[in-house]
Amino acid sequence: MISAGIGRLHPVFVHLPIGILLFAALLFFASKKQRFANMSLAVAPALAIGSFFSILSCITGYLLSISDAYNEDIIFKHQWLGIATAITSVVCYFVYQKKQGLFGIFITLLTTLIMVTGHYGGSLTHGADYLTASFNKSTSDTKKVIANIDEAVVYTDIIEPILATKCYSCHGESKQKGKLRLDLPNYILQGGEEGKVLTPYQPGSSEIINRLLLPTSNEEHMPPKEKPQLTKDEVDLLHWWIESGANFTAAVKNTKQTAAIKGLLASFSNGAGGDGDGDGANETASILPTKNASPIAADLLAQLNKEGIVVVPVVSGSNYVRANLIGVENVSAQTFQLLSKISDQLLQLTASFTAVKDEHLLALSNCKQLKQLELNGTTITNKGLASLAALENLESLSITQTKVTADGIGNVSALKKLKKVYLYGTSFTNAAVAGLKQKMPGLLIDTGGYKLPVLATDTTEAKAPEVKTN
Amino acid sequence: MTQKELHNQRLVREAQKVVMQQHTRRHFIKESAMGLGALALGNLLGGCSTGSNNVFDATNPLAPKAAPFLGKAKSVIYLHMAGAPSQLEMFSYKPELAKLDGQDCPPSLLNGKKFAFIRGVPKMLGPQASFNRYGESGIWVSENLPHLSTVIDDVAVLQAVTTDQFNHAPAQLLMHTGTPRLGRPSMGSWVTYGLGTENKNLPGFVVLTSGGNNPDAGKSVWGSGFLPSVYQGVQCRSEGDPVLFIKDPAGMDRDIRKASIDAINKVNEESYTEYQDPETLSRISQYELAYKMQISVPGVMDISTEPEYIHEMYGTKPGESCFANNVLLARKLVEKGVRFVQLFDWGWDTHGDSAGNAVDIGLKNKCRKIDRPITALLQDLKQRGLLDETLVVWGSEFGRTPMQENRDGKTMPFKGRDHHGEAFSMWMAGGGIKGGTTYGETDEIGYNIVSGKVETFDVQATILNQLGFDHEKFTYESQGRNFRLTDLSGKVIHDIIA
Repeated sequence: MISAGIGRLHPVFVHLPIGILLFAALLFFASKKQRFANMSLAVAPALAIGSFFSILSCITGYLLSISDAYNEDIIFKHQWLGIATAITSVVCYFVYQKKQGLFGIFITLLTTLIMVTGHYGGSLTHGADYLTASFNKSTSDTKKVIANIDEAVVYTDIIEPILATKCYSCHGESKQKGKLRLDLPNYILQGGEEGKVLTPYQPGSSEIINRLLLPTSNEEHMPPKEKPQLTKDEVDLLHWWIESGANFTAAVKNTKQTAAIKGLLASFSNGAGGDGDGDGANETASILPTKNASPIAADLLAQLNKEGIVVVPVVSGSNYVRANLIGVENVSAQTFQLLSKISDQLLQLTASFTAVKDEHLLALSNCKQLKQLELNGTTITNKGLASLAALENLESLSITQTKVTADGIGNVSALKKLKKVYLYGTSFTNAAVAGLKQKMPGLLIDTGGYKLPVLATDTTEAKAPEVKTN
Repeated sequence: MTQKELHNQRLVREAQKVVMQQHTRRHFIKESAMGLGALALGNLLGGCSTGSNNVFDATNPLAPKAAPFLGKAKSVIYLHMAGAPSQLEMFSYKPELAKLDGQDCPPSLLNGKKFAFIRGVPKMLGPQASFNRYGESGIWVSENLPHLSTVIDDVAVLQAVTTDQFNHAPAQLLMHTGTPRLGRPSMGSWVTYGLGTENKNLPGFVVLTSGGNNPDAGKSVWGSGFLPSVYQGVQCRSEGDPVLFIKDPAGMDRDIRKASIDAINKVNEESYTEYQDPETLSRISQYELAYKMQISVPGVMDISTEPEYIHEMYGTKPGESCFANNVLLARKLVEKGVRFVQLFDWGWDTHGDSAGNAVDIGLKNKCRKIDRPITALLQDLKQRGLLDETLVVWGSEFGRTPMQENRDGKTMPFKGRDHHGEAFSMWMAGGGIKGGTTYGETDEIGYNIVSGKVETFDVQATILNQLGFDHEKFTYESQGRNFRLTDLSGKVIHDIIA
């Protein structure tokens, strides 16, 4: 216990001799110039201090190496190079004292040793690929785009990349904190010094999940709070994998999925969703079609803006747009002709409270992507509603306070993907609504007209009880 | 020297003086031989307009912009009950507290605590309203909110909101600007800065107040802080002219008004070409907006054109200044594309110093004034297909103590409660919020949080999240560093998101 504690001081001691010995080398080479000649006085003390601490580093380093599991190959190199460095620094000190001409060679050797040893030390703490990771971006992305998510293997395509980016640096080939390795199936099942880390089908009693879910302030929380954390999505996926038996070969399609997991999985195939930063707006599982549209030409955009049509991307970086006609002074056939030119990009259209007429709506029929259409408070009638039949992707339609009547409402059933329709303030009949409901059982039909009961308390005031005066 | 010579001399001196007055520091720097000053100045001014992830377009600062993520909500109606309503008579059901009614408060609740008014040992005060479970979700709601309880399945109640401020003004600032001190932009300003507004004829951020007073923190709670001033809230009145002086004065017709605004803007444009100050452009666009608002605002702010059915539903009385009217206005504004509507209703500070401030009398009346309109708002948004994309937030700056207030150690004439920041209730609805949920739990007397703690920053983070922002990345550079609404904290409350 004590030796392990002392061993942990290694990082504290090790950086000082590195600095001081390199500084000694710098002083020595600088002092060769006439201007800095007096710096040579400092070389010997620097070497002495450096040597002392490099010996201390060797001792603490050895204690650390026996207290925890590290990659044996790297630890071997680091240990012996470290000892060589310490010896060389002591030798340098005596060589310098005797003013021998060989000092230049020794100090160069020492500098080289420090660098090489340091590199292996770094590989131990940060992982062997730490230095090159930034050139090798793909390894730091947890999430790759998977073309066919159903065929993908849960472990290799989804779980392993998470472990690789967030766990391997301490529980991998080069370092095994707590004697735990997570880089190969047999090691994962084997567990670490505190026992098994996962129990198939029982995420609740799997240590790996418990550690992830502990508050970051807890010492036992993994990854340690200063390291990159798993996102909520990643934890959910791990949880799902263990719950389904922690199988290393099963495909996604053979693994039971909840709605939430389906959403997460869907985000793999379109590359969207799960912003990867944990706490952001990650609910993008989403109205966006999987394929991005081509951008709207700048001159067309200028024309739309000139007409007063507000066109905004539905989300930053997407070419899909929502349009609002609220700023158009005179809504006309031309307005809708312009809109039909962005039919590939138009996802949402708000034309509420405008002078839109039935005949205008025909121009929308090629807007196959349109998912949401709001025509509240306009004078459109059944005729206009009928001309929307071609909007095969429409999911939400608001036609409140329009001239649509009971006869027209049946037309809504032509919109196969429709999920919600708002009819408040139209002259619908209950029979027409029931008919529509029968044709489209999954459709949410809101006819509005909600009434609040009039309660006595709405208009009366509570009063203080009469105070009796004597 | 003749009189004429003297006069000429005086004229010359006067002219020189005028030239010198006009020769400002900026001219000096601009004209200085080095040119270095001008360079530095250009950088300084340029610095005003660079947001880190959201470039401020000074020529059209309110142009609609896409959010970085696909948000569920497009607009926000924030209902703030200024003064801090008692959670214990509205959403926080504490039967155990009733048993302790009238007993001395145990020292364990008082040690080390600081209260606004409670001194010495106060008595515990049981809930002054009865509770029942409502809706499929079975959420407890008090008898003070008989209407809201019918739509509780649309609402997500946060039972354990907390703040570290126990005075109204700083607590309101903390809730709306992310700091208890002055000078930061309010939530509505951040949102309009980030998203702009789709209706160019109306402001993007409108503020409506009721209850007879502005909130204690004053207009800073809807200020724009270091954001360009065009993003500050525009306060409208629900009685008389919605905006003061919106009508042209007698004898000034629309054409003359237009001509004068054009002339002013021309001067401003010249001044912009000379100094490149983006605030000048803000000013120009504000003049233009004001001119357009003269037409658009009286229309949208006139609730008398609403059908009788709607007035019945909201309990509105056109011509009066009241919370119900403001709520109806909020719906109208959101329907017309206004991004953020902020309501403040004053008069919830139930200390028990008068009948109007008693939790069993005044609070009931306040509840009656908001219960019907708020319920109507949720229903009305729903029937128009707007609830899915409109986030409705109800809350306050803090809550109230389970102890009866004993100001200066004396017994109060009425039943009241002191300020309590440790735990209070808020709710959200619409805009992608999971209705019929409660989040967070307080102890059996509603004094401390047991689980599901929500800080003011978490509320802000969640609101921004619903609009499509990652609150950690939504920043604005000011005074050499990037600022966020949520400062250095904030966690999205995923549990209440649908």
